[in-house]
Amino acid sequence: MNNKLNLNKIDGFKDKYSEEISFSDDLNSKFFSFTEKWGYTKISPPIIEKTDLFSNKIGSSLTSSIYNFIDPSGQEVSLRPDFTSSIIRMIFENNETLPLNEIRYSYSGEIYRYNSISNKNYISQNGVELIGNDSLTSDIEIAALAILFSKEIIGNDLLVSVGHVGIISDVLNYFNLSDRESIFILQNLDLISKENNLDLIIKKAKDFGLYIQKELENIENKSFSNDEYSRMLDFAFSDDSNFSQTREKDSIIDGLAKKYEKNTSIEKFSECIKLISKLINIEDNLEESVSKANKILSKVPVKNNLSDFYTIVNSLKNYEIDLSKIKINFGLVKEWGYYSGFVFNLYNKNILEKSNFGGGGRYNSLSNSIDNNASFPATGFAIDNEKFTENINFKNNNKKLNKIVIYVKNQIDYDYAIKTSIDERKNGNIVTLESKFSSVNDLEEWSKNNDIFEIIYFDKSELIRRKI
Amino acid sequence: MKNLSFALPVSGALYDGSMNLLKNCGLSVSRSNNRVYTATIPNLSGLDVMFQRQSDIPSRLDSNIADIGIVGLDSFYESKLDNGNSLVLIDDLGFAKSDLVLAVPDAWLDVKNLVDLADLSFKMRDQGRDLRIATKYPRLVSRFLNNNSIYYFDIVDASGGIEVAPYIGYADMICDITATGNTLRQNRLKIIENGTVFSSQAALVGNIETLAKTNNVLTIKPLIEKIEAYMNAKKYIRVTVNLSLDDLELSTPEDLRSILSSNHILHGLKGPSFSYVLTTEPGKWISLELIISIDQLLPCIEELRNLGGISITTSDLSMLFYKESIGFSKLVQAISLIGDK
Repeated sequence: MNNKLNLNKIDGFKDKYSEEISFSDDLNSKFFSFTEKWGYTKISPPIIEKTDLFSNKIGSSLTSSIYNFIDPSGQEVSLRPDFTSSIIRMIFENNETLPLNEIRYSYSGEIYRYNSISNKNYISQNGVELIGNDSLTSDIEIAALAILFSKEIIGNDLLVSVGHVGIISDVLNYFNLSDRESIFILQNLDLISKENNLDLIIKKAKDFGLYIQKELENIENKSFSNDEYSRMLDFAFSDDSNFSQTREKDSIIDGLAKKYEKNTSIEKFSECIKLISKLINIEDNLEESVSKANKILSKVPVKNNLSDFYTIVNSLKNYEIDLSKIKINFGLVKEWGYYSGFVFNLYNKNILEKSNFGGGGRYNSLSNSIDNNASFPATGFAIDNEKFTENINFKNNNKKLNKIVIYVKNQIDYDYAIKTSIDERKNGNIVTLESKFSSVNDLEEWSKNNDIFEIIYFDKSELIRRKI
Repeated sequence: MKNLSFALPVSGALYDGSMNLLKNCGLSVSRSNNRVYTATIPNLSGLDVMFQRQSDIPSRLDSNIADIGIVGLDSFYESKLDNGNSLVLIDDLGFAKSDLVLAVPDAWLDVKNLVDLADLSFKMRDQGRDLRIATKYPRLVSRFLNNNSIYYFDIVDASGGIEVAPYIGYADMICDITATGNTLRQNRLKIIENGTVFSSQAALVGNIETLAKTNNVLTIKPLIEKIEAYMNAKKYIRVTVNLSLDDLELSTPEDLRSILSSNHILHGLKGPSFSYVLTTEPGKWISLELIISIDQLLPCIEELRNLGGISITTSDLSMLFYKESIGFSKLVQAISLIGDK
């Protein structure tokens, strides 16, 4: 549009027309119909929420991609970057305590995240949440539901990758790594998966700001210098009320002391990297993968995460899901700090290079991040509808309605046209009145390219039909 | 045809710097009084000046209200549209220099650098709250912190006097522009290592969509050329020196080539030019004129003295034009890319 005010569509968004909307409605209808049979009821939170709801999401790296603005009342609000936070908020707001039963919700709509790289700033999503159950049965249910629905739509093109955040978490805890060290490892799993990269990884870790030193240096550096002691004491005993700030003195001194305690030895860090590298390089069927992982983790006092993982994946057989289509991937760690247990990604084998079209898993910590006093388990999945249906065409099962155009050339025609349109609509046809064409023949020409079934026009009150 | 709009900052260091720059380029702004927000540049036809708050200039460019402007790079990158039409043509106009820095209360002995800040953000998160950072630059700060793997923070939008935020308590730390760091120090704040989010100075920016029209490009060309030439000239100095060919045991000035080719300091921009000196002293004297980098002035003087040079004088250049204008070429290239879309 070449207009003075540059009112063109904002980059990264999309204008949708009838065909795409029908397609999307059809998909949503199939989704809701499918999930309803599993006991999921529809839910629709508002598109705008208070910004704090989303910025408090654990593990969120969305800070600079959320659409924030001040509403006319002066409140800071955001377009939702996900559904889950809103749904958890709805549960908090409407239930003082979590009901005894599990809550099953399904949803559909757009979420908004600014993404300058993909230049696509919205995702049209369908998803479900299962809240209030920490047992493996809910993990199994969510994975089975996601897989079976996806399979119904894209058939055998579906591929699934499964992992468990808790397994790597056990390893990191065993080596007693700090949050930042853990995040570094999780952000660099691709690099770690390749062999002979240890020196490069350690260099990168130091560049990242991790304090990794040889064991001996580490011990030497653990003591404070006289200068540090002196400054700490000066600070601890100073009382300058003119320059207060937001942290307690104890917190600062504790932080200073911890700086010297948190150095990690290269030996320990390297051992952790090697172990994780072996773990995430496992490529086998479920039994073999879990058996190999057990051997690799023999030193690590793992909790039940590995056996839980086996149980969840193996139980999918009960839903007649072909386990050979499921790839075991111990390196699948989605949104660290958000997902906390079993996780999975869904792919279309024909468009693998374009990443997963959906996925989900367990995220027990989210409720706690929204309200410190509340904590309840949750699991769910979501599908990016546009990626999901990128190369498929639905068969439109709806009866196709005939499109009829009534040609109106004067006021007399108009009266007849109104009456005729009422009758034709009752007959189940789509009817439009058209008066802009200068002749029936012109209208006929136009109709040939516009999916019109029939033209109706009047000649001295006589109704004439012309099939296209 | 409608004149082009040249947006200039309405006040502060950017206003003063812009006025001086244009004056030095022979493009003085004619403004009837300080309360009038429009002006002209008599030596440049087809262009009107409009004075705007500097923070508004990027959006004036993106919304096609202004065609070209001078703005601080900090405001520009904070406010410009990612896929907008504005483009930096000259990014180092040399004034309004400042750094956007992360600063914490100096009592925070445990926070020296970005890594410490990241650790603190985790610690605060564990305690149930996020690090609050007061700033006028939420976009730049959020991106910088995210790029440095710091995710747990809240931006507190603040517009003025934000150095006091940690004292009042509405933020834990700040991110603000500083030139010398004095104001921060006076407010008991310290800049953290690697905590420079952005180094800013004044820049010439243009709207590639509106400038794409042929006449507009031609109208704007003298402005870009002259500013660029003036900025180029500031980096060099003209040096003249008298040399005795006899003392150097040279028969002609061309024989100096061998000396100059092995001496990069004396070579200057493209080698010196020479003329004969009409002197009553015996022997042949020539006057050499060199254009050298201003950083090389004193080493150059020493080299000339070593050659027996006398009466060494220097003078500033007012403009230095290269084979082509980099800023203008950049504009033409950006315009051609629009045409390809």
